[in-house]
Amino acid sequence: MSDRAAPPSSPEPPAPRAEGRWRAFEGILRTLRRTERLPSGEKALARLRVEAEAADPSQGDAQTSHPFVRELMRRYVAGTLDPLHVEALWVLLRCDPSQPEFQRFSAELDRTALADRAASIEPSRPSSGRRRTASPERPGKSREVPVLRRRMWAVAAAAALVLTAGLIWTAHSSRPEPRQTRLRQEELRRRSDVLRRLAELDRQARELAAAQEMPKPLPPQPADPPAPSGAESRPTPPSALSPQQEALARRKEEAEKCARLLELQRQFLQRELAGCRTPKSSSGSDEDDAAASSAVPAAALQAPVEVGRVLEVDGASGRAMLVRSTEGAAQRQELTRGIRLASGDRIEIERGGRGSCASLEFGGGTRIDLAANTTLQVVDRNAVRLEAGQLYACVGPQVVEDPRGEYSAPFALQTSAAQILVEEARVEVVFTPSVSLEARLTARVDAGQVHLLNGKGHVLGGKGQELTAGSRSAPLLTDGFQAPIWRGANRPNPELPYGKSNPVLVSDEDAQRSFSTEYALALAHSGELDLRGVQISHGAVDERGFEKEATAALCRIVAREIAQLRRTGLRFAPDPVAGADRALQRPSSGRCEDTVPERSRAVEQLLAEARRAAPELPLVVVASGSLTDLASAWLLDRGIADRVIVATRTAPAAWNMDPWAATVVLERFRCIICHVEFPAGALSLARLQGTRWEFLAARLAGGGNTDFSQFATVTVPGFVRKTQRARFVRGASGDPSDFSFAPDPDGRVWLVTDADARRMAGEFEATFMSAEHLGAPTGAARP
Amino acid sequence: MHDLELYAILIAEHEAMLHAYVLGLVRDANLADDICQETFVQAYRQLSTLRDKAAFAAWLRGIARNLAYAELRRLHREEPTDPVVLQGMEEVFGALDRNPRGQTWQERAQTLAVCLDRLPEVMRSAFELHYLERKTAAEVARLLSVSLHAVLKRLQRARESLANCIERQLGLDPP
Repeated sequence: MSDRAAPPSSPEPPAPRAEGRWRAFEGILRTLRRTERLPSGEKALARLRVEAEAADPSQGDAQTSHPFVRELMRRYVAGTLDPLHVEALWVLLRCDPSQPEFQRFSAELDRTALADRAASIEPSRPSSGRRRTASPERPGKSREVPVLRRRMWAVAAAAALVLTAGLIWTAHSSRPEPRQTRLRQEELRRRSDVLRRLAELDRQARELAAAQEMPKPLPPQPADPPAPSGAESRPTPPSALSPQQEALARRKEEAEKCARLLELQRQFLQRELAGCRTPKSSSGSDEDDAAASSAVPAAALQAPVEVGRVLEVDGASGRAMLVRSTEGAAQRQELTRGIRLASGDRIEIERGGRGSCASLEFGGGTRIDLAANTTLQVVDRNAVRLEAGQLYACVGPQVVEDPRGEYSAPFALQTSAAQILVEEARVEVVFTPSVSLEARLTARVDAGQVHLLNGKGHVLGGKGQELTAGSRSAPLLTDGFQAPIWRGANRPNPELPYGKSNPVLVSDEDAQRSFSTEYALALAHSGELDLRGVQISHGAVDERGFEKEATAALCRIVAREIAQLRRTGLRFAPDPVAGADRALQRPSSGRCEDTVPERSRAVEQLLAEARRAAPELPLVVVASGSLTDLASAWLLDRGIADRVIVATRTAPAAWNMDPWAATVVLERFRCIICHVEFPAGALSLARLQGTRWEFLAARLAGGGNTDFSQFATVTVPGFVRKTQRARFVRGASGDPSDFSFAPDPDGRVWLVTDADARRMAGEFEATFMSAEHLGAPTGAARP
Repeated sequence: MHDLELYAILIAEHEAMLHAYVLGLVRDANLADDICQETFVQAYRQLSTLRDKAAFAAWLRGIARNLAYAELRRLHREEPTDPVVLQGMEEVFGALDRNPRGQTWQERAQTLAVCLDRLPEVMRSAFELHYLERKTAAEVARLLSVSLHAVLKRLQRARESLANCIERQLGLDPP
């Protein structure tokens, strides 16, 4: 429809109820689209902690027991703390009060705070605490000298505090996030903003100093001593200087204070950013200082920073190597006791037994033991000071929770990575072996304070928590890493790059004879599968072209079946979406990229779901028919190749429906190919009678169904016995039907060469004949 | 575990929901942040008065609503005092509170984002600029090089389409 028809005067709907719903939608969509982290919860918690500590000082730590920090906290609780100082408070709470810089810094600011307090309680002065003196420029007016000085002092302190907060924030805000690129850009933007403000502050200080050049020598001016707590400020005694000289002298004095504070700030920032080891000399000129202040953060962030040391290396238990990048070149050396670890270092345990090969110590006494087949990467220095380190994400970039939450032995856990935030560094530990849970184990976390967080930020456990393998939030003690690892993703077949935790899209071509769609619906109903949709692709071979409207007609039939199942109480049963009606045509160039895609609703859904999936947890498309829609989706957006894994079968008939689409998919996507016939004879189908699934008995009676096998690779533990990595090789004839697979350890194809068919039957019984389904009403469920 | 640590879990679970709710009320992200922060603090102090633990989300929204009203009154801004408007909001958030699959709130809410993805590109771009990036209709028209008339039309259609889709997703009756 044209945009010119029936112009609305306003996009607002009239009904108040609809308006309310719309407000809710808008709030939700804007919240979901928000790129930066929501700060309210964290700040509320911080406030509550401060309140709790203020009420019970015994709960405080070294930071909060410092009088300056305590004074800031008192004001914060009273609601009288300036917002700028609130940020400073968070910074100070993370600092080590034993550092001399902290003491000097707080002493300077404390003096200001005390002077403020003294001025505010002075009874003999006007309530505003102003001291009026004759203005040299305008004799009839008065001037507020102390207030001006205090304001300048406060502005300089506040600016310096904000700079501290900003720079420290930028120094440690590089945790991996799903929107890492965006956050990185944001971080760079903020950093440049902070540097710009610092340069601006410098410029102002220089201008101020230049403006205070004395026209003639002044008599010596006593420095303004810090006002003691509770002391009253006395009026300045009459001076022999002219008012102009007096004003200039004061301004110079204030400029010097600003400069001192700036210098103090620089040193403070340098120590924070450079690991408190390389204090910069303050003897340079202003220009040098300005250049140095600009250079410090970048250099401090990029230069390797020492984060720990090697406590012990047991050569008998394994071979540990240190890979260190020096002037752009990676150098390998054997790990030996006493080596100082720096950011960017990588430690690889190449071989060894089950025991610890190397023990590392990070700041604050955090100790990590590494065993064989483990790689530890020191990612960066983190300026946040923690008590003993936090394990904030583990088992892959995204921790995934199986909705059912039951893991019983035997259970194989494929650990891929752990990210650990220790006192001074963020390290990533990568495990190559899988961890097998062979019996129920009980373990206790004794080393340090460990918070187990999943990808959603939920705290799953803590120090001293009793950990029971197989329970819902069971961290496990692994061979590679002597610390708890949350159970992580459920991969029933560790050889394959997916599992039940992945989002799944079913593409079924033979819904009248197979039961892949029903299986997916049953798993989704019981919450075991994240089913994103059901697609219908055409399966009939028709001179390599599909029957017009046949896919849509089949889709309508499946939609009726699903609707009937839904009426029996089946939850999460999405309506099917129709795929393409025609096969892809091989372009004359023979290049996949030159193919003209076939658009359909299924392609749109594939694109949307693939874009939503993370590369770490890709969308699994279980395809049993033509691969036309998958190939078309890739042709429309090639970026989805890393976000989709295809589980399909080796039925030549299925691939011959659209051989060129199969070529595109097998060349561009990661594919798992499995072809095992379902042992229908092993089942007692009579148990299905009277359930919502009784119609499946008739389908299985025909036998010979192989559609289920590719689904079993995703969901059935122990189904896959053996796989072989391979790559797709086109035949010399140029015919899309002429192809083969060549063994390749890095190939994009996993060929399942041995599988346990009986486990498929077991899975069928466990799913369709479970108590959850047997008791369901069946009256309408006879598709 | 310290009670504040337990409360941190509750905060993590409800932060996005509360932010979305308050944002719907006040339509100002910064103000919403402040109100959310205050809501969590107030809720913690009054946690002992909560009788039905399962109704924590709704209870939290009630506190947030009162705080938002107070803040809007203080700022002399518009107040969504019409109870039918609030009922409409509560219908949406109540539907999202029901959680038979054990998902987080964000995961449940993500199903609504599907509807946005389904919008045709011309509508979606206008919608995102106007509603999510808070550009005025005239600014959207300038950015998209179309007439104001066309933008208003696209916004109306996008909104209707989106509302229908989301209501279907949440199983809500038409208003």
